[in-house]
Amino acid sequence: MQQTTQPGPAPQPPKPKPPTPSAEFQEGDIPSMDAAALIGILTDAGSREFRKAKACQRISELGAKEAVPALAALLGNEHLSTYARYGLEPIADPSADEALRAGMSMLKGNLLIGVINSIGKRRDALAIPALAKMIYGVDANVARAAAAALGSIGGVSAMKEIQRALSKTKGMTRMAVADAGLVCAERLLAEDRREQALILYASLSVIDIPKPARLAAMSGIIREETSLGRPH
Amino acid sequence: MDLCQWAAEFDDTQPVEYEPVGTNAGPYKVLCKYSNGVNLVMRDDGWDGGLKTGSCSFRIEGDQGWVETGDATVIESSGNIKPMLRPTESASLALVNHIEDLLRSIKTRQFPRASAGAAANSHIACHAAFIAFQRCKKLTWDPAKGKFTNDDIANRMRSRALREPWRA
Repeated sequence: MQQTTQPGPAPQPPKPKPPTPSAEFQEGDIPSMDAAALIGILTDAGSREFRKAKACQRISELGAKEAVPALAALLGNEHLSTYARYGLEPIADPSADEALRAGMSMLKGNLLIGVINSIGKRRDALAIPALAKMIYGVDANVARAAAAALGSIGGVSAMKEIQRALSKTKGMTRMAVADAGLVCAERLLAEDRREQALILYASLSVIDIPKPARLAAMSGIIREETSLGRPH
Repeated sequence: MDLCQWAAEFDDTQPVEYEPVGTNAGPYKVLCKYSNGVNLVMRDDGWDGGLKTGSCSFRIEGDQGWVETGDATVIESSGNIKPMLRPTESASLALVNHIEDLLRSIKTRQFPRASAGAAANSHIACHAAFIAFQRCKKLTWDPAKGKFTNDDIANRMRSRALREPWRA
């Protein structure tokens, strides 16, 4: 027995099988390759971009630190930079941070923004001084990315740079700095640095901070000060 | 998936085990388990084969019967449950109901029935299941830490670099 108020749709045909990609776009044995073979693909000038991209993805699964130099060499490649970061981001070794930091000084535009985003994701505190300088650079998109990375990295050093930037920036960059401040405050709270988080929230609650960020900061203060778990 | 989580009262978490079956033979499924032992089965080919209950079909099986539905506004069940079923609404009303529920949540300062957190937890569970499918092995998951507990490669598959200039 079925209960219906309206007729159901007609039975659907079986799902069509996806087309088989041409040989040029097949990953072949890459999913089972070891790091040495994958590095070989990345460093071979004759390798097609598709195979290099797939090799980067496989390296990301392996987390192979020996692949860092080969991946770093692709950060400036317009087509493969994203894949190079795909490979670098999950590598736990500090050499991946060093490669991304080195990339910051060599790249511009969107490729630089990508590297900054990866640095923020990895929460590399050693990049804080360079990121702080970028907030005041001529490229507004880079400045906003740098601010966001500072917020993601979090900690007291990033907090101080964000507070400094709040008074020195304007317009959309200031909005990005304020957003970063909110993220940084959340990070501080998660690390049991409640006092610093409240100081940062207070910096974000003054009248000339963009309203969305100001209201969020005030909400954060109210939430923390009325929490049953607050220190007495 | 979101309806399964809602029905099992797991809107605020995810299953802790994911075991793929038939990954190279298809149609595949992923057997999942919540921390209290409730089982969840994700099936590539839906539930009733003929898709009578429509896309996104799901089935709840309990000690005393089963009920199954989907996007086609059809409900099927075991015989003992049929007298308790209410007439269904048209599929288009579901969207209206979501909007009405959102407005209600703004008015009452309560979470909507389909909150952002519930949606995120459903998506996390789906991604965890797909990673288990890709890894062709049983994975265990710590919802509090958001990490797999028995596979480093699976943990590295949890996120990927976003195409510049995008960031999350």
